[in-house]
Amino acid sequence: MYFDKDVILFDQSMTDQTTALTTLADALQKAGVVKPSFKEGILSREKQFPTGLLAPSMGVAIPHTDAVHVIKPQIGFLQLREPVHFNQMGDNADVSAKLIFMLALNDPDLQLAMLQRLMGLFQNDDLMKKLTTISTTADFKDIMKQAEID
Amino acid sequence: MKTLMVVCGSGVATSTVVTGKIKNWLADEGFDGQVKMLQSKISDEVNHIDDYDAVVSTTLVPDNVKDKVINGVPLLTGMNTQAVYDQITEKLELK
Repeated sequence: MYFDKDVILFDQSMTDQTTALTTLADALQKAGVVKPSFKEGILSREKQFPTGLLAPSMGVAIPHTDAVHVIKPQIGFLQLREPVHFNQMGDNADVSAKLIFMLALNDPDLQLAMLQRLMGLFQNDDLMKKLTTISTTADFKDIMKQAEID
Repeated sequence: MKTLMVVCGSGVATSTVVTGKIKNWLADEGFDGQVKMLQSKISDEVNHIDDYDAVVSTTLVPDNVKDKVINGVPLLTGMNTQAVYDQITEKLELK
């Protein structure tokens, strides 16, 4: 259910964080799963509360915002050709993000298991490396299935 | 009963993961009867930090409350998680 709208983008060249966030937020809005206010929510939140994470094998980011902007739970994925700078949540450390998972979530209780598995995926070096090289939606969904996120 | 507040930027995503991890850990250690878990967003709690016995955050907190808040990001990345649990144990005086 989290990927059924196919907001899954590969090999994207993004000049900076804002461009990357805008691209994903626009794609989610086009898919009808978030409200027009989602993008602004994502951008302002990222400035205030960064969402980069230094996973063991690479930097990632999990931008998200308040539930009120979300229509239907969904995750947008963006694979970057060149890493984009984020700051780490919690300590503001520099993160060169190679993968972005944009979370459009609205029910914490239902989504706990999915989020835990997503964090588990970030710690799986093998699957994470695959995520940087794949180029088809089918391969992406296969990896997500292996990570039990769908 | 001690209170442990977990905050993130939105109160929806990462605080949920961290709350789940801490609950499991409390149960494993046999502390679950001693702690009441709460979850919120940082902007709602920044003036109420002292209302709780301990606060864990996955997001940046203002400098004036920084020393009172435990950084919960290691529970997301899985790196050096024990340090977080040690700080919770100490703050809540769990035994």
